[in-house]
Amino acid sequence: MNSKTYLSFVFFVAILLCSILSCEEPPKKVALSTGPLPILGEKEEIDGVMNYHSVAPFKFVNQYGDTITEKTFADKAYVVDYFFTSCPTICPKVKEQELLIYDTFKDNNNLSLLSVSIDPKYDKVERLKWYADKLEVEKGNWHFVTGDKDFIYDIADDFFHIAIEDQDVPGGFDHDGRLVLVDKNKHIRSFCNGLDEKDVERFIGDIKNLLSEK
Amino acid sequence: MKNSIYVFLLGLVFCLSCQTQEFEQGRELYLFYCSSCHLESGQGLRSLYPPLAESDYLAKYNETVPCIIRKGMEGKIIVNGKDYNAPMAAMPKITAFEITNIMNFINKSWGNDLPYVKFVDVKNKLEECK
Repeated sequence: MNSKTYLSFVFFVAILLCSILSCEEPPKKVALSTGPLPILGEKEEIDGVMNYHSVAPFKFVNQYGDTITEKTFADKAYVVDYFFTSCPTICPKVKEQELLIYDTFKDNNNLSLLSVSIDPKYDKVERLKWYADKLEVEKGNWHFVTGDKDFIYDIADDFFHIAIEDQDVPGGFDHDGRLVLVDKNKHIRSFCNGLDEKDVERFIGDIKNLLSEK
Repeated sequence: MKNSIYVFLLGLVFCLSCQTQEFEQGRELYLFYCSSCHLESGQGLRSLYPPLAESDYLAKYNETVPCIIRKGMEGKIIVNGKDYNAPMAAMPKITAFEITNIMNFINKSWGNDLPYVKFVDVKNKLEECK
């Protein structure tokens, strides 16, 4: 082997190694929040006092037939999502991520989950109970709720959610896969895209951050 | 002459270097049609949607899978000892070609080592679906 061939060979092997090594994407670091989480949404100063966006009072029924209102969360934070049990598109993936949140905070009484059905005609109490059981959710901090349809669609805005009935989308309802964190003062403090695992990881960090607030 | 060999090898390296996935088309189709319920990892969702990864049902009834994908499914099935009873939606417009690609991806992913399926067999099977 003359030196030129040898050099070409070394060059070739180097390219080979580089291209193989570059296939592995380096894991992205998730930046976790530090310090108090902001209060999100519109705000307005009235007579020197800041008024923040807050969630209006509500009334739902959960998978056990219990009434769920804002008072249920009087002293705890909760994560809200909009879904429906026969959803063929994004819901299962979002539910997979919510199960991660559920498992992380299962023994923490300061956090609940609230999954609001946008298909209350079909998602009655028994159906929600079936769904919660299928997700292997134990009785406790995760409420799958139904209620008055117009009310559910109207209050979506307060929860930073979008719900539209649309025959043209698979399943008949269009909605987002967002997970929204509400604090015990009814303020929205964080949200994430429930379809994006990295964003959910950051969100779990935000929940821990909120729960450590005095 | 020698240079052209290196150019060829270099080209080959670029072609092969990141192609770790054998059934790329099947994977894309799986992500589009199937993963919202069976999820990306083929694990399914708790007791709601059954797993495709290392599923005894998939192994035992592999030849019925083309019909399940096209016609959907209803009623109770038992997968790896667990009951599942959520309906699976039909996909009347999915082609035999797409089903073949999806099945080959599923049959060789997540620890599965089930036989390759051929387009012609899938096509024939689809004609028999009830």
